[in-house]
Amino acid sequence: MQIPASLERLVEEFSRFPGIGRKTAQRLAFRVLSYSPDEARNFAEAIVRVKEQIRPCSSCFVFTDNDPCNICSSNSRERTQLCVVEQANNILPIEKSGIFHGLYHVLNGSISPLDGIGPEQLTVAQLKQRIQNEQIEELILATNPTVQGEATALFLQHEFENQVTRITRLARGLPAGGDLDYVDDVTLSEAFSGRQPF
Amino acid sequence: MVIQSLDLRHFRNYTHLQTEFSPETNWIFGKNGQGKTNLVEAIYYICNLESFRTRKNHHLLQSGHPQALIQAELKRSDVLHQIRIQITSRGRQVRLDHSAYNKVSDYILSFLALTFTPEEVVLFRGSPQERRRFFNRMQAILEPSYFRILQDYAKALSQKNAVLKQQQREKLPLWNQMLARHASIMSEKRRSFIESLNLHLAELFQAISGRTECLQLEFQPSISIPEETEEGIFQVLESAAEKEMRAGHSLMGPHRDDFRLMLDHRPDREFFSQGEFRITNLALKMALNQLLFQSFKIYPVLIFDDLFSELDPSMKSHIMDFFSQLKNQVFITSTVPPEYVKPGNTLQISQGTTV
Repeated sequence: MQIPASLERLVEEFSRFPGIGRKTAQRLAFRVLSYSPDEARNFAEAIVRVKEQIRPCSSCFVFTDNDPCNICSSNSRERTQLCVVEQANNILPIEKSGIFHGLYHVLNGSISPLDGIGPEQLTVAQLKQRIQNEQIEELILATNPTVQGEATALFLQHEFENQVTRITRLARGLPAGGDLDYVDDVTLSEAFSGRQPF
Repeated sequence: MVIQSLDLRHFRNYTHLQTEFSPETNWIFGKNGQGKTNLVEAIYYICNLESFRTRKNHHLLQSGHPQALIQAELKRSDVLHQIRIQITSRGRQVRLDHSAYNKVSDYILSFLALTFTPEEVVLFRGSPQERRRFFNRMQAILEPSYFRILQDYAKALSQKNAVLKQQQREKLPLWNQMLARHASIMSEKRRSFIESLNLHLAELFQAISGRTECLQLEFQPSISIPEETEEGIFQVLESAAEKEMRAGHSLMGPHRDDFRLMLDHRPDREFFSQGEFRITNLALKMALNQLLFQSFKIYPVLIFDDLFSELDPSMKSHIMDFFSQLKNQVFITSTVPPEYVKPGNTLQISQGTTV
C-alpha cells in the first residue's frame, strides 16, 4: 500500500530524530494518526511552543523559558562556585543528583581543531566576563573525560588560573554500587592511578 | 591450547581436508606451492580470527566457490571446544560450541596463535611503522587498556596535526601539552613492555642458537630525554614548534618511536646476517610466548612457516631441541621431511591434500 503523502511527510519528520529508524517512525506516525484533533493540536503546539519560548540563558547558556534562568536568578544557590559543562543537557544529571548548589556555565561544545572549533566558537568569552564580574572563587571543570574534553579543561585552566582561587576537575574512577568484575580496564587503571589515602 | 582436528572445505586450494594433529610438534612438508602455508593459515585463522597474509575474505575462498568452511576441535584446559567458521566474500560467521560468537577480543585471548613467517623475518629490516604496528598489537593483547591509550594518543595527534595544518601557532601549546600527556603514558608503557621482554630475550636466544651473545631489544624513542615526563616532553615539542609549523604536520612523538635488536653491541640493521635476523626474531616470539603464559596462563599455538631455510644444520638441531621442551602445540612447514628429531606428527602435502 502506498502511504498517503501527508502521512509520509510525518514519517519522514519522525525518522530525522536520533535513534529513530523508518519502522519506529511509522509506528509513531500511526499513533499520531489515531489522535483526536485536540490531541494532535496540543502535540503540534508543544513543538512550536518549545521553539518560541525556550532560549539559552544569557548568562549561563542553559536552556530556559525565562531569562536569566531559574538557577542564575535563584537566591539559594552558592554563587562562588561555577561548574563548566560542554552541553546544556550535561547539567540534568548533576541537578537531579542534588549534589551541587552552585552555578553553571555551558560551553556549547569542546575544543576540536579538526572540526574547526576553537575557544572562539564556544562561550569562553562570556565565561571570562562572568569570572570578572561575579564573585566566583572555584571553577569546577566538568567537561567530558575524552581527549577533546580534557583539552578544553586544560585550556580553561591556563586561561583562568590567575583569576579564581581554585580550579578543580571532576574525579575519574569506579562507579558507585558497581561490581569490580564489570569495570572496564581503562576505568580500573584510572581508579588505581587516582587512588586516595583511606 | 591444542588443535586436535581440522576439517577444511573450499579453503584456498583445499577442496576438502580432514586431518588430526599431535599436541606436540606437527611437521608439514611438501614441495613449493602445494598448500603448506594455506594449511597453517587456516590454523592461524582458527586461533586469531584473521589471516596473517590477507585482509580480504575472498582470497581465502577456493576459486569458484562462494564460501569456505573451517571446522576444528580445540582443547583448552582439558575442555574440548568445537569451532566452526564460515567465510564468504562478504563476511564470516563464527560458532563456538554451536552458538554464535561475536566477541572477537575475548575469543582471541582464549585461542591465541603466534606466527613466525618469512614476511615477519624482515620486521627489523623493514619500516619503523611495521615495527610499531607489531609491538602495538602484541602489547594490546597483553595489556588490553593499552589499546585505549593508543586511541587517545591518535586522537590528540590528529587534533595537533589539524592545528599545524591550519597554521594556528597560538593554539599549538595546548595540543603539545595534550600530546605530551598521552606521549608520557605511552612511553612509560612501551618501556615497561620492552623491559619485560628483555627479561627473557637473552636467555632464549642463547638456548635457541647455542651462542653466547646477549640479545636485547632497544627502545629508540622519537623524543629522547632522560625522564619522559609530561613536562619534559612538552618542552621538547615546544622547542620544535617552528620546525613543525613549517612542515605543517607533527614531526616527533611516540608515533615516530622505533625499536631495534642488539646482539651484544651490534645493532640489527647494520650488522645482522640473514640467519641472525631469523633466529633473533624467533627468540622475540618465544619471549612473547612466555609473557603470554605469565599473564594469561595460556600456551599459544606456535606456527613456524618456512622456519628452517637459511639456517645451518647445527642451528636447526638446536631449535628442534628447544621446541621439544616447549609445552605449546607447534606447527612447522618445510620443503623437506623432518631431519633431526621425530615430531609428534608428520603431514605431507601435495596439491591441496595429504599424501
